[in-house]
Amino acid sequence: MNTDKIASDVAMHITYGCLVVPVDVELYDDTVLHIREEILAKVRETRVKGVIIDLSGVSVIDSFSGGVIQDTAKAVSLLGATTVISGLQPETAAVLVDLNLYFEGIAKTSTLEAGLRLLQSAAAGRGEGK
Amino acid sequence: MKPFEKKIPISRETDIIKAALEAKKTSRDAGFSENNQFMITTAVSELARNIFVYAGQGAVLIELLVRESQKGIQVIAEDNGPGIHDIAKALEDRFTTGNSLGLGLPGVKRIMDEFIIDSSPGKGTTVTARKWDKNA
Repeated sequence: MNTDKIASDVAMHITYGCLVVPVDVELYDDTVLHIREEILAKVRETRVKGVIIDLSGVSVIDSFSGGVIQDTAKAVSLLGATTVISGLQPETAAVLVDLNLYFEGIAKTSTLEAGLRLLQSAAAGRGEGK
Repeated sequence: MKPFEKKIPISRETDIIKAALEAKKTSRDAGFSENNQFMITTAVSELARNIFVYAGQGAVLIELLVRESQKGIQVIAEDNGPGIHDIAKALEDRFTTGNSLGLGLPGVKRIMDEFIIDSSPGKGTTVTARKWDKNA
C-alpha cells in the first residue's frame, strides 16, 4: 500500500484573465496528471485565454512530467488558450531539450511576472483585456 | 570505506521521484553547480523510471567521488529485470518497448559525462553514470 502522503493540490488562481498555476509540489506521476486535469477543467470552466504554469518550485522534471506538461499546453491550445511556462532557467530548458522535450510552440519565461506580461501583451494585440 | 553512499530501492512509482530528490540533496550538499544538480536529478529520475517500467524493481546507488581538482557523483541503477536485447537500439532516440515515453536512456547519456550500460537478456541491467564538477 502506498503510505506516502503526496501533495497534489496546487492553488490555482485567475489574475488579469490568466490562469496562474504556481506548482510548488514535487511532480510525482499522479501529481502531474492531476494538475493537468485541474488545468484543463479550469480552462473549460472559466474560458481564460492564458495559462501560466510556474515551475520555479519544482526540483525534478523528467521525461514523464515534462511530457505531461507539454501535452497539457497542447490541450490548452485546443481549448483556445495560450500557455506560458515560467520559472525555468535557461540551463534547465537546455537539459529538457536533451530529453527531447522542446516545449514547441510554448512560450517560456524566467519569472511568473514576465509570463503574465507576455500573455497580457498578446491579449492586447488581439484587442482583448482592455 | 567510501565517503558517501546511498542506496534507494525502487519498487513503486513514487520511488522514482524519491530517488531523484535524494540525488538533488546529495549533489546540492556536495556543492555541485545548480545546472549540474538539475542534470543529476533528472538523470536519476530517468534511470529509476527505467527500472520501474522495465524491471518492476531494483535499486539506485548514489556515490560521491573525488579526483584531483574535481568532485563527482556516480549513479548506479541496477535491476534483475528482463535485460536489454539490443543496447544500441535502446540508446536510440524514441525507441521504447515499455509504456514510458522511451526518452530515458539517450537523454541520460547526453546529460551525464560518463555512461556505461551492462545488460544481457535474462540477466538484468546495470547502468553506471557519472557527472563531474570542479571543486570550489
